[in-house]
Amino acid sequence: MRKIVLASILFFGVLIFGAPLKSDSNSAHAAAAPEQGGTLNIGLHIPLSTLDWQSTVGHPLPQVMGHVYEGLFGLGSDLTAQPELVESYKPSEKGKVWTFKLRTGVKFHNGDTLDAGDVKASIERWRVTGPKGTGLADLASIATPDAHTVVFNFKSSMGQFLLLLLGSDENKAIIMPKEVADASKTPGQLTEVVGTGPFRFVEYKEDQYARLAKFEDYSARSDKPNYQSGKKVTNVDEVIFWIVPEASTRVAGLEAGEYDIITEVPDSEAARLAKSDTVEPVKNGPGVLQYMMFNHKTGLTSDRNIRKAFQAMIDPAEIASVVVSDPAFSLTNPSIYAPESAYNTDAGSAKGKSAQEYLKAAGYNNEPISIQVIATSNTQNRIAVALVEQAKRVGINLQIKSYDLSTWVANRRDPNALNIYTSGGYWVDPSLWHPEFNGTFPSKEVGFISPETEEIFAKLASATTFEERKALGEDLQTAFYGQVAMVNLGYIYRLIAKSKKVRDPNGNLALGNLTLHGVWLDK
Amino acid sequence: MFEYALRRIISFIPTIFITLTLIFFITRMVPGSPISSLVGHQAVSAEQIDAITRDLGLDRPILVQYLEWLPHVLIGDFGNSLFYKQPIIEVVAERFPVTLYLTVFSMIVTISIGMPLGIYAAIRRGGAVDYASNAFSSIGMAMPSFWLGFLLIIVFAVSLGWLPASGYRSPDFGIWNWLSRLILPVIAQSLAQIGLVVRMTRASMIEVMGQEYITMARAKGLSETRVVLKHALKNAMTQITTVIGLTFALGLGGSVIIENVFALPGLGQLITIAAIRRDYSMLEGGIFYLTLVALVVNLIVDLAYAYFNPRIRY
Repeated sequence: MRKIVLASILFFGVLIFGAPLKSDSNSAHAAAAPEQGGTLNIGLHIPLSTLDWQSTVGHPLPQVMGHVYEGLFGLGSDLTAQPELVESYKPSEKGKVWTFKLRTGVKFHNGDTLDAGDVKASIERWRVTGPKGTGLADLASIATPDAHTVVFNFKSSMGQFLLLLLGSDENKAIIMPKEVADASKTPGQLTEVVGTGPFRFVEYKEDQYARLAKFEDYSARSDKPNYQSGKKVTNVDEVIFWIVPEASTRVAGLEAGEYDIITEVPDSEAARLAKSDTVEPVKNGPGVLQYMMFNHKTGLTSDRNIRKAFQAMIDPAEIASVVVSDPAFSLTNPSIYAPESAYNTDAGSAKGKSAQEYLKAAGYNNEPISIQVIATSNTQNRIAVALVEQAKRVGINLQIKSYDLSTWVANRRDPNALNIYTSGGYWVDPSLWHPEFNGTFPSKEVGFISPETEEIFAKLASATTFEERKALGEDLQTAFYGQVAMVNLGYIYRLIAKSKKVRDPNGNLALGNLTLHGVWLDK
Repeated sequence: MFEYALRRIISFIPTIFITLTLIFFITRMVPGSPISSLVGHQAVSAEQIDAITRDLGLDRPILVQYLEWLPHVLIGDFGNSLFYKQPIIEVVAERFPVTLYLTVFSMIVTISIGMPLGIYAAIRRGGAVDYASNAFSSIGMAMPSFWLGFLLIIVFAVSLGWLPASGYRSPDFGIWNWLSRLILPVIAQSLAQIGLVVRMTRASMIEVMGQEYITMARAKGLSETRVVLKHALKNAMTQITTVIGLTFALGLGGSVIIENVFALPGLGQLITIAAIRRDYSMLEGGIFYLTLVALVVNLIVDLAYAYFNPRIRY
């Protein structure tokens, strides 16, 4: 009876005062050595639209399948490409021939042993089905002189970018058994989910959960752990990704102890979670660039002076203050490369004339210009509201058009429907910008295509030293600023949250998409 | 009675036809297309988009699409889901139990609390219970179910740790594991329904209790319990039954919100995801089967109504 009375008091207390009640659980204490076993429960923000990671750039494939599959290369903690299934590699002098020696004794989850034929079949499938596979357009052939050697022959020079292209976890060139790759020609439809990663895929219950189990025969690298590369240590027996689309429910589930880690937490929760005895926020980088993209082909925004006016009017600090509740989750930085990237630079970012001068040069006469947003995206809506205010100050008639995701995506390809949209992403290498500016994303009907930048991209493809690439990266950024290919609106950081029982000795949870290597549960 | 039931079943045909037609045109009038969702952010050329559009038959005039679609769906064939790559009926069959448990348990809670409370409030009109039930039903009906859901999670899952915050486990995971995850959603779903049933029961009972035959029954020396339960309640049931049927249909609709708040993989959540993805056939099938259940429940209510009030059978 007393419990019922207590429950009633708590319930009506919240009802009346609307104040969240604090959990009274004890805080976890540190432990020295990783404990083994247990199930890691993850509250995931979005269901899987497919199990075929090769055919999509969509989340949450990297978060889930990043533990099932491996590629020739993976990302290191400095966001450079590091060998994963590759033992060693060697480019020819002009970068047209790349020879990869595979690690030996690597087992697939079905018991087969990895060989060069699997790599060839997987890469050939990815070239066709993968959104990023278009980056291998100049690949002439793949040869497999022996069971553990793969040779890529290109029609033109290919630089270090190749390694990052293969290893980027957005749409990774993952390796699967040859028979699976050959039998799964249709994008989005895999006959089996079989990889070489530290966890094997067990099941996906549509829109409910995805279950992975520790792969006992996993063949780990011997070099030290390095984010998605190096020695991958698996301490838990099982990982279950629960699909919980509602953010408040995910947070409550974490606090109630149902989930050990949750993704995509509103930054407004950071301060409150930081005070908890049982859970803690984790600021997740690298910084995500928020940028304004234009219809470059038709309408007012095809006029560079109009785009210049937008560039001149932007106050990123003000936008950041509107977008995030907690200033710790935003950063003003002029570069088109993530603040954590070695390519970060302020090249070309000096402001020119005032917005009004550019508008005058364009002959602008208060015609409406629209910015399209996804109705359910808080970030986009907040940015748009700030932009409208900033535009008003300089005399631009900017209007918000709100759409559902599906229409928003469709409009990005429609030159008659689009003026401006905003988006977000992070780029750790200059070459990775290429698909954004060669008519791939966004489409050639609206996208920015310029001979000057194409030339820079071509040089980047064959540049092999960091110094060369750094200089070309600066040239690219200068060209972007000069032609206003897009406008930098500042960086924001994502927030995930975890139970204090979750130990992450390598700090992987603070970086990129969810990487659980080395994570263990303090029981 | 049989003839009445038959007439009601035949009246389903135009209702289903109109429902299907509305579902078809409304889903297609919404901006966006399944192609955009299918393709997402991928690098796909305009030619490839045209090819997918042709494959799905979405390039033809909407009336042609409708005329081709209708004969199939009239026999329950909604085709395959674009995203689940499964026949619609199979996807619905997987999800329907969750929605059914939620709705049926909510109804059980609603009737078990709402009716006795309404009866008691009516026979003790102006008393403390009457005022309390009035306040309770007003709060229940005024409170948005999603907000109530979050409050329940904060109190009973986060603070007290008595019940799980979200998610669903089938009965295969154990009866308590299954049931415990339905308790909070059922309470959130039931509260507004209880308010409605309490009010309707109270009003009906007050009306019936004021009639002369009740005075006669009392004058004959029948016990108050017998007067209330045997004579008054049976007559009041005609209106109460209607409200219960309506409440069930509202509960099915409300599952869309409750299932999203509590991450329950039922038909409501399925419809939400299908709408976001513009999975036309999934959306149409999901709404259709929900409508069909509501129609069947309405039929049962009408038959019950006819049982309690024989005049309407003729």
